[in-house]
Amino acid sequence: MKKDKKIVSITVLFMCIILTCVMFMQFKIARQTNLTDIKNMNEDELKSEILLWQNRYNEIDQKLTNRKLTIAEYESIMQNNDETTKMLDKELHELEKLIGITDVEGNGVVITLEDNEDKGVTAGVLLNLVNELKYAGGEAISINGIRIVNMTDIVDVNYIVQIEGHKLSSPYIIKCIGEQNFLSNTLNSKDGYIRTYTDSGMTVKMETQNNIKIDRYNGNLDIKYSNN
Amino acid sequence: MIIIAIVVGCILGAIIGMYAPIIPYTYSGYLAIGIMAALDTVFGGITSIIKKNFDMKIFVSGFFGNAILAIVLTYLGEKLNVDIYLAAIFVFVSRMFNNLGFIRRYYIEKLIEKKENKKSKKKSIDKV
Repeated sequence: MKKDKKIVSITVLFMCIILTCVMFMQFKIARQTNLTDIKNMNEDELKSEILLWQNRYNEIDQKLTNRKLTIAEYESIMQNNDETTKMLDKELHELEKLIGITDVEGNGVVITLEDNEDKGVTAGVLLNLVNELKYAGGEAISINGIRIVNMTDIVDVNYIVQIEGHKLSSPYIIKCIGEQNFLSNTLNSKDGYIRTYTDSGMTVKMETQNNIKIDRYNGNLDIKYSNN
Repeated sequence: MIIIAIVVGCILGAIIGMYAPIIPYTYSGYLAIGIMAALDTVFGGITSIIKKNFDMKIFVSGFFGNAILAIVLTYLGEKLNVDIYLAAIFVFVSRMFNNLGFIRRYYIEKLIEKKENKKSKKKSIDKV
């Protein structure tokens, strides 16, 4: 009987050891796997998850390559656009210079007209000068700092010269940018401007200057009635 | 002696289990089923002790056999893509409840009997 009891006790001991050992191992696994989701899944779940993500990755990769292609297309279009915009920009600058809405700098001549006691400077005198300068190839003209553009009016109002409403007085300083030799030769010619007006009793001085600065036109250039 | 063996075995098992290497998660499901089967057998054993038809050989073979069978069934279920372990758990747990209910009833009846015995004893002493 005693032997039997001993055997029973030993088997029970071993069974208890095995059972509690396995249970504690399981507790440990359960505690640890609660920490992360990944460990909570079994291999098949993980595999399917990986497959899913792989598919998604592939899809997104495909999208990315498509997007890259479109971006490359856009870039090439943009480059073409860039060239055209550059050309248009250049053209625009040229036109702006031409109509006088940009500050310009260059070589040219400066003419000074002064009133005398018996003879004053009239709008006609200035208009003649402007015409003469244009004829001689003047690219930008200003009178007492007022830029002369194609719409500029020069008139006499009560014997006072007005340019676009600004009253001017002696001395009148006319700056003109252009080919210096051509300008001075034209004005200094035998029946030229300077001779004509000095003979009629006005003081006309002319000198060539380098790097003359002429400010931009400040007025409005609105066109209301002319249509294309 | 058996009680000492149970206590020592539990403590030793707990210590070994705490310091044992971690089993990969894939196999922890099998382990859990094995534990359920073993626990079922233990409660079944206690019930059979109460019923006085306890057999050590049957107990030991049931302890290991049930655990292994449950593990094998779970493995098979996984291969067949059927959650057999659910059925196994259902069976084990329902049996455990049955056995526990039997044990509970037995001990409560025993307790009530004891109390009644005491009362009857007191009464007999008073009468004397």
